Amino acid sequence: MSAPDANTLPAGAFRPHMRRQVPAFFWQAFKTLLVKEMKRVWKMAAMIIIAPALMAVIYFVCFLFGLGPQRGTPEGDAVLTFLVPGLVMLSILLRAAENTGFSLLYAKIEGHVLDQLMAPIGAREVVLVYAVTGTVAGFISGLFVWLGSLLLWPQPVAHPLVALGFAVLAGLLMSMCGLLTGLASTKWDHMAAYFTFLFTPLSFLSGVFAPVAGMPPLFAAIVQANPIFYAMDGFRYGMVGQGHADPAVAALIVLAACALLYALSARLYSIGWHMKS
Amino acid sequence: MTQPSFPMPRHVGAVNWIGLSTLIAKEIRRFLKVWVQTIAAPVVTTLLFYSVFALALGGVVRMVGDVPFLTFLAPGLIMMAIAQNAFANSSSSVLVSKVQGNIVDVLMPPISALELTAAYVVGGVVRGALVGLVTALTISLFVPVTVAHPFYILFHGIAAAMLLSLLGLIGGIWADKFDHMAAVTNFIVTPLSFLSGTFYSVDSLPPTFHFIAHLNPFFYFIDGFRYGFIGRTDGTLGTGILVMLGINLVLGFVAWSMIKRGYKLKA
Repeated sequence: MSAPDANTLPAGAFRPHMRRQVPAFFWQAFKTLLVKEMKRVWKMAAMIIIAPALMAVIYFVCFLFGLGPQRGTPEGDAVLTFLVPGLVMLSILLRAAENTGFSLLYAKIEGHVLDQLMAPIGAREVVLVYAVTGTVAGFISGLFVWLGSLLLWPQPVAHPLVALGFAVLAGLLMSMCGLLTGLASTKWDHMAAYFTFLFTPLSFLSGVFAPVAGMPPLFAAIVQANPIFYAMDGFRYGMVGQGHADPAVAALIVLAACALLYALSARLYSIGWHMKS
Repeated sequence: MTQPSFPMPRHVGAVNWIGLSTLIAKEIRRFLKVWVQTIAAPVVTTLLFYSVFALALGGVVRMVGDVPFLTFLAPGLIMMAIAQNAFANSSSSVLVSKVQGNIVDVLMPPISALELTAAYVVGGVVRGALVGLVTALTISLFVPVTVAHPFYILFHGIAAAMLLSLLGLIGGIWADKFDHMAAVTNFIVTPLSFLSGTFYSVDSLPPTFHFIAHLNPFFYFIDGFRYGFIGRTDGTLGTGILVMLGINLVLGFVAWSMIKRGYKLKA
């Protein structure tokens, strides 16, 4: 008998004659992993839509009643106008980071991260997949918070394209941050600590809730050293038409931070930090 | 002396003090072991809320009645931290034991349903009290914290922590998965605690919201707790005390009977 015909072999059988050349950017693998991660987002839709939207409504009501009729900015009622972009952005930031970080850490703990480490898929594809899905998750969550805010506090969007651009940039930035924490953690406790002690303070103190102009100088300096502040500021410019920094500069700063984090996480993924021991 | 050569039945009195104190010690050690998550994290989160509100005011001194807003806010935030952590403690303790299977270790020994309920509640109350104490001390570094009526602080602090521990216990027994617990936290405990008059005096609310706020049990304990600090109340303190005692009794009975029957515990 001659060797069996290649077409009758089972799916996973060894085919020595097959060419296994992986291109510089492996689209097939990228698409496959993207589909897998998107399915995960879809399954968690309730978590990324309902819970953040409810939280945003609660924050909004607390500020609405808490700050009462005298709201402490020179622009009078601006706190609430201020608050809507802040809450939308907060949701984007936290959801983007959560989604990527939890997905990777879950894969590590359950062990199925092996499936993507073994497959001929490089760090560049994997990191991009995580960045894209994190951004999408953040974006969906932000979109629903914004739609909800229209019911409570309708206001027009000043520059929709700018707002959209900064929403995407912020999602990218935090996806990268989430991915890095996913890489750095080996237990859920680590992840929770990064979120409680790093990301939540960074996101809350990025000018989400208050204009940087009204802060004490020390606080203002801290806030302005935070890259998230620039994403927030640019987004606010897109939503309400006024910002603290120049939107172009803000975009550049956020992009630079994204690039830096991308390079770092791609490097760490490719050496298999905390994954290949 | 001669030892009997066969095992003797151990006699357990009306209250199994050894069992009760062991379980309480276990409950307290459980959260102290991960104090970064159970004590430090809630304190940081509470301070974050505090600073966000302080910054949002932009340096304007706002008054609630005759009290500065930040002084008004502090007791409410402390109470929120107490309540949320008391809930988190008993619910996660029971649920983790159920998921991991070590719940049998507390079901098998001769510990009665009442003792089990009490031990879980004490664990939650201790964690709530610790978180509240650390938060209060930290806030007092920034804003002077006055104490007007220590009895009200103690009573409302403990009663609220008990109430939430019982609720957490019931939730933990009922839940099968962590998702269920997350849903209870996100959709019941967090909204109730945020919309309770922590951030505003309910007297300033529109009539409909004013009425709804009074239906929220969290309102009574935050209001009474705040009265203990600043000597100013939104509601009737007597009603609040009765409401809290009543809810505690009902929840205590529900939790006790769930454990007694082994609902979702003994399959």
